[in-house]
Amino acid sequence: MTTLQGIISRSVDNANKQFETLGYVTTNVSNYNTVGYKAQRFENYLMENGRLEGTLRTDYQNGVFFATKKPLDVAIDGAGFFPVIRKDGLVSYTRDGSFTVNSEGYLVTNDNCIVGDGIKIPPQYDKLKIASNGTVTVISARDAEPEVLGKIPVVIFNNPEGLKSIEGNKLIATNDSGNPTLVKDHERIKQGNLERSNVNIFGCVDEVLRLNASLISSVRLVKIVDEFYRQSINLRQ
Amino acid sequence: MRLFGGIYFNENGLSNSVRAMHLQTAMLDNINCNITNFGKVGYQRKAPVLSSFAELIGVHALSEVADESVGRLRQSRKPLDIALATEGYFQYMTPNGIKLTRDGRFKIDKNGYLLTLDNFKVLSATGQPIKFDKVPEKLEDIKVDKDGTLTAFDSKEKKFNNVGQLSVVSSDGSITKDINVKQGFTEDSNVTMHTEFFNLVPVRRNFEANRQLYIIQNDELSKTIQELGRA
Repeated sequence: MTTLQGIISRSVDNANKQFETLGYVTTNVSNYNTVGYKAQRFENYLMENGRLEGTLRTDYQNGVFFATKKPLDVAIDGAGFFPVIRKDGLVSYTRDGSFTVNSEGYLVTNDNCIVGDGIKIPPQYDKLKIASNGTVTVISARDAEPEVLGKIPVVIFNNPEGLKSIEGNKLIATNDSGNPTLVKDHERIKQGNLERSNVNIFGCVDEVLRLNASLISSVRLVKIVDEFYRQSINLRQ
Repeated sequence: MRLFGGIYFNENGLSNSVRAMHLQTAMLDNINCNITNFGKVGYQRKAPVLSSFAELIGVHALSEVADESVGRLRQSRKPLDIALATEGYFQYMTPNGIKLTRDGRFKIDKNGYLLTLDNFKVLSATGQPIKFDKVPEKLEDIKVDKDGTLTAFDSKEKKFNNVGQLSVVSSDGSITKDINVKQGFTEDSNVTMHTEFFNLVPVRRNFEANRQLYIIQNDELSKTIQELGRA
């Protein structure tokens, strides 16, 4: 049974969903320069009853690398995440490899989360090398023997899209993502590089144009239905 | 209706006008549906079809037929965005039985099942849910052929493993041949926005015309009653 109210609610529903999508596009654009950020997609789909539903998805395609020449910057070439531990003990995962050393000498992320199970870097060294399998070695002085400090771990998930994103460009494991698996033999770590976000800025502009068109047409339809309403109510004149 | 003495009044005229207005509202709903779903992946335009005797049965004369032509394909470069460049539907399993869709934005869960966006399992040509025995590390390792065959590259053993073939059927459930499955594409709706807005014009005018007719008939009726009352 058709009612004018039904038409209005469908249009309003669509306009709201488009507006919500705009919010997610904004998040992508504002994180265009965030290291290791993965673009989010808010996918609309139709339910059988004609209602719109939306689900948030993450695009895990690799971003482009850029060289920083800093010894503590690392990027993951391929799938995987760095496990990091926050001060309160929460284990989270990130692809942002712009690491530093904290006051206690541990290798940490920008917001002071310890990488792996703690790699202690000596205050003075001549050269620090991170091998492609994640092993951190240091040469303390010229002509000294290289000393192994530890290994930066890389883990993978069966369903990375199921990870939940928390503040600070980090993710935590959920029921949907499955448990992390440690990658043992790999050559994925690139020292002196960082991974740019994989946001497609032109795609974002295109999407904004599309959802703007959809929003305008829905609002326009509400106006037309309003006219129908007015005419139906004033049927006696 | 016989009012008084030999005066007859055609009361059907009034209800005819109301019915026609109701019908135009239903048509407006149909157009609204097409416009709202203009940008939605896999949506098929619903064409309104009006049968005869619409003046007598009103909205019951209106039915909708899905336009099965292929919509606009858009490149998304996502490995699990799969579009059909020919007519047909993917099949997926719900608790209420097998359903059809042209929305090929799939995902993989932690157990390796291929799912639709609303978490239902996508079916293969053999009728079983499509399952990756070994979940590929990155989605770029998945390849979809033109005939809908899914393969996953195993980077350790350096070989492609066959996963299954997507089931593509026509709207009556029979298997379609000569399909063209495109990986990395999504299919937008096959609605043309300006046509829908053009279609809206006669609907609005028809509504207004019937409203005017209703008002005229109503005026005539009240005039008649008043004149008769005076006499």
